Amino acid sequence: MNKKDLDVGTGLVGAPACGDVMKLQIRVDPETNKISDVKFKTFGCGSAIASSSYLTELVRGMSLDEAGKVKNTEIAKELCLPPVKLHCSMLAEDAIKSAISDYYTKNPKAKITSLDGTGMKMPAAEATPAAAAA
Amino acid sequence: MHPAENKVRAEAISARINDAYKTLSNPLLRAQYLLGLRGVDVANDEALKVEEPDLLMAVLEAHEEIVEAEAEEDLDTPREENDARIAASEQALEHAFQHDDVDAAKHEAVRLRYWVNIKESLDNWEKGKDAVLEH
Repeated sequence: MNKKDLDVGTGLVGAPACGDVMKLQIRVDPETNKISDVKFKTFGCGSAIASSSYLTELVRGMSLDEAGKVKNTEIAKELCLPPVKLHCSMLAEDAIKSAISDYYTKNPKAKITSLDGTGMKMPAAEATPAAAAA
Repeated sequence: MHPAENKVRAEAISARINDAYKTLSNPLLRAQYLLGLRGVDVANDEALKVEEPDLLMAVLEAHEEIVEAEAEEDLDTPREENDARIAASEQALEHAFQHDDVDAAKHEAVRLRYWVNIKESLDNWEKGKDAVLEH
């Protein structure tokens, strides 16, 4: 996907502990605010690749609101990740949140998803600063 | 014959010495250990995030280049580039520890972690094989 496209959100995240890097891209249908397509590219261990792969299957067709609520525990449970590999699922959760943030940064008029409790800061969208808190 | 308790002790000491040797001879492990002594855990802190988009972009591109390589020769340039990155990071770490600059050392240790992974990808490259890192 072309990351310059307005309807594409790109998330690029890394885990310093293991040196993995994960790129996740979503294409959003501006009419429905749903994720119409999603791609990933992950360089890391098998668990990191599996986490991002499962995540893409999970969020395809979801609205941005739903996708923003995906928890790493959901991914870890499905893949039966051992405790030492939990950070791989956290990385995947970060990736989708980062991609959604990127989409909203490019499309400040779109309704902002609440990412409460994720520890990830939303970049302030200039047009609707109040909506971030709502 | 040695008594059993001496054997257990000898094994433990031997393992410790091997560990120490491995740590001292590997710049990344050495940096992580030295940071650990200062209360900074870069090797196991799972909540740690990379706030450097440029670094991630460079890492992603380096990995992509390796995956797209058609022949061993295609890796010559990436390998040179990466060796240079590793050398620069090791030097920066040396400098940071000399001046007891923990923040700089932490920052550089994370970068080195990424370069070492790229090196692993380079070393494990096989035509048409996907890159999966072992760690």
